[in-house]
Amino acid sequence: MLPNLAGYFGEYGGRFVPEALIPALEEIEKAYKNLKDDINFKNELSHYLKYYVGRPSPLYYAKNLSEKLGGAKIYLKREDLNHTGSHKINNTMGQALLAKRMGKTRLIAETGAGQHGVATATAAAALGLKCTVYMGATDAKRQGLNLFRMEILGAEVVTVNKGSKTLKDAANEAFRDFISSFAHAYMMIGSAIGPHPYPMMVRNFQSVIGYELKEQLQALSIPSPDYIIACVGGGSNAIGIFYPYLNSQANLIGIEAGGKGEASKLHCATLARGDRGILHGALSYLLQDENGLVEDTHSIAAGLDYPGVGPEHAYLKDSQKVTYYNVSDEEAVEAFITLSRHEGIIPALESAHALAYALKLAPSLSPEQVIVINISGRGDKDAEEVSNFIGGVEFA
Amino acid sequence: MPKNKLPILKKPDEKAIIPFLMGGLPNEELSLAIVNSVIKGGADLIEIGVPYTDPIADGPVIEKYHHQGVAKGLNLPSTLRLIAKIRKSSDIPIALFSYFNPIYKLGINKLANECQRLAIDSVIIPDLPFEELILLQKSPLDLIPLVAPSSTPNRLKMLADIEASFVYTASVSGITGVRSLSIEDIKSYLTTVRKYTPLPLALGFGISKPEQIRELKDYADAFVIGSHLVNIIEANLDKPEQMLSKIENSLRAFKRAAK
Repeated sequence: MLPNLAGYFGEYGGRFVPEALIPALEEIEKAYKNLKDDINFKNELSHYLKYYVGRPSPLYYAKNLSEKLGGAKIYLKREDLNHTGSHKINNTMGQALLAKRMGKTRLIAETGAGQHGVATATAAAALGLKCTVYMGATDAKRQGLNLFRMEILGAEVVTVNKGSKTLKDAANEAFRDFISSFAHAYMMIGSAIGPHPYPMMVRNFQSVIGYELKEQLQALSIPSPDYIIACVGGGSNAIGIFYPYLNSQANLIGIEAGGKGEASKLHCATLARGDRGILHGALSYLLQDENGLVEDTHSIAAGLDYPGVGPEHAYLKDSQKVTYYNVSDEEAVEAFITLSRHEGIIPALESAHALAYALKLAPSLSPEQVIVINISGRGDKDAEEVSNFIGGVEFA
Repeated sequence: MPKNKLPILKKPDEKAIIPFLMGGLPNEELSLAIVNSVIKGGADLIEIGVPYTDPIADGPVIEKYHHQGVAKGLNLPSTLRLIAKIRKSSDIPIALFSYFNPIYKLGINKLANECQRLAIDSVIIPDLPFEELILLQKSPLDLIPLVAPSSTPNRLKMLADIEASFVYTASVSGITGVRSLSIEDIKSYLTTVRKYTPLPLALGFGISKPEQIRELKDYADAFVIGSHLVNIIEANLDKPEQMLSKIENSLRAFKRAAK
């Protein structure tokens, strides 16, 4: 069972944070360990997931798209239909309930695309907690809708005008806040990143996606899908859908953001181009220069625009349990439009990365084969970004 | 390399003053001149920081300095080159302050070789907790453990497994920066830490006035001056001569308070 007691997945993970923060992490780890199998806690979380989040999320057979591509059957796991519009709420409801049980009164979150920020602000409003969300200035500009949503939900949004002005620096600020305030505040990490126990905890809360998928496929008499495809930034939606399938026949494929191409420096294909390093408290793959300084990254999808990746994905890459590829901004936008036109579903640009790979893969497979794509979020937030992008590119 | 080799830290009637300087800022020439000023002002050990992209343990003053350094192309190798220049004229004890990733990238053994070559006495890694520090105990590096008021008895007990020339005691649980301290709380905190380690204690994070040292000198063995110096540097960027004399005078005042 991974991680081990010290929070390592193989050689990745751990706790590389100031000693001052260790007591806070120990407190969270202890509280989580005590509550995760507690029947009252589980019931309370299930209640919120069902009646508030709207789970189970549907597994939808994308007939039009499958027929158009003329290969495998394509199923979509519709995390975009969750309350707040993405998978992020699975984790924030879980952690917010934990924080509340611990007696914390304020949630602190970092956000990239704003989906985790919105999901945290929502959980805070639902449970009567205060909320502070840190968002990079670049992201705040390109995700104005989510910024507005967080504020209307009652969260204090702090725009971070430092470093890369994206998710990485928002997370730095969130850590700084937390180091000074953990007596009363709880840090709500939104991806499968960070110091132990976060990668494990986020994975466990998100694994509801994979367990549901198992039941839904069983009901369709599909014993196992041939492929499960999910996008990977920090990697929470991917680990959530992969986790119950790690020792199965299914081919698990994680798609990173290739930005303007792997050869350019304008990407965030951490697993493809990075090497071992430490960011936000964990040892994992990292995009860094030869002197160990963390590099700036680029993706059209703010939620993937991150130079690190969750430590469990690093382990799964090395142990070849999951294969990771990347697709470009352009391919993602193309997939974004394709799904909208053919199925009437506008996916998040993040999820469109997973979809783009599936569009390439499906025609090479046979009609008996099944691909499941995790549609981790909906694309309303990306209207402006895509509109700007296609201004310069022609789509058939 | 024998650890615990800074005798100044165990003088009963004189406390050590440790200025923190960011290596290579505001520029290399001034950086070297600032080192000279703190030596003239009576510094006992100089902590030299490596600029980093993600300095999560630092407050706004020093964080900004990190980003400035990175923007100027400064990093671990440039900081080591700066120390080589300092070593041409001074054998003052030096502690290297770096976040872990640049060190991990270079390699612990390579850093140990560099430290030996440049007579770097100690290494302070703000994002390395005790577990990881204990794993590195076999390396010849003198790795300085950091504790905070939030450190629980269970954590402080781990100091028994750590050999180092001193323990860095942060005076607030939060990030670095100039702030007013509750002197009584710090006294009781330092008294608590003393129960767990025979090593000298260096108090840091928030020392900006000589009076603070006067109040606390029976409780700690050394005092780190960080953000306060950065503020002097930043406020006098266009008057380098004045900057250097202010730094020297400031150090002298801290040192006087420490005797």
